[in-house]
Amino acid sequence: MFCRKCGVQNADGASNCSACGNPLALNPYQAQMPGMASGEKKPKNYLVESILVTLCCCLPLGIVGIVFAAQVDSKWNAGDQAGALTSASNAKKFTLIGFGVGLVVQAIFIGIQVLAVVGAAAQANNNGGF
Amino acid sequence: MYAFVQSASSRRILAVALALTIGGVGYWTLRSFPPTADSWYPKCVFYQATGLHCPGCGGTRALGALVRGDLLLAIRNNPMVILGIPTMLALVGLQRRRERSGRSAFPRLAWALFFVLVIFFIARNIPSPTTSPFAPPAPTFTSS
Repeated sequence: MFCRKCGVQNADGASNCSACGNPLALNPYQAQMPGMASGEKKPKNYLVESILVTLCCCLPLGIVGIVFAAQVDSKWNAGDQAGALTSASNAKKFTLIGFGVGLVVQAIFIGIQVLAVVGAAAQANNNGGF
Repeated sequence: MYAFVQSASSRRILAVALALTIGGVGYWTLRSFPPTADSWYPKCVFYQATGLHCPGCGGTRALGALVRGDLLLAIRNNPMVILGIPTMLALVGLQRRRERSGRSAFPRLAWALFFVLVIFFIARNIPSPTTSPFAPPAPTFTSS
């Protein structure tokens, strides 16, 4: 593990940094934190993005995205790094697909509404309404 | 350009600039054109297809009421957008800060947010989408 103060690499499990003497395990949680020993970082879970997709454009896919985003945290905390990575890539996938599908469906609906308005105006013209 | 986008501090500047721009344009648009029943704002596809209120339904009207200073009507239209989103962003930000400083993450934050959304979604549609106290009221204010 690396010293958080001076960055020098130390043997895993050492209590103090060999270079500067800084304590390496500041609290019991830190020693247990999964991923700390290997120096890996928790993958991005796309939680905020999937919630925004759920609210803005595409409900079902966004909900799936949130579920995978939540799995990233649970699995990472349980020490399942591979599982967390899989969930993270799924969360990204569903969030992006949800965003794309939402945009397309919105565009189609707006197109239909515009056509309806134009059609109604044409109808009114034909009937001599204006 | 790519190197610029890569550095953390300039990414933050970009994000803030983007947020300010979107916020400004949104504020101006909502003030100039209030969302009414017949306005051209995109309407919820889910609602039009199913007749059910999704968690985001009434969000445009809520923001429209907010920029006119009517906080109560804004919350009435969509408490999730007005109160929930800022709370969620704050919690997620707190979470990130916690993780960065080396402490363990709140393990259940993401699940909690998920269940809040789902329960809100259900609550807006019972006993029925029109009578639920959490459903957005029909658009009231007219363009003035």
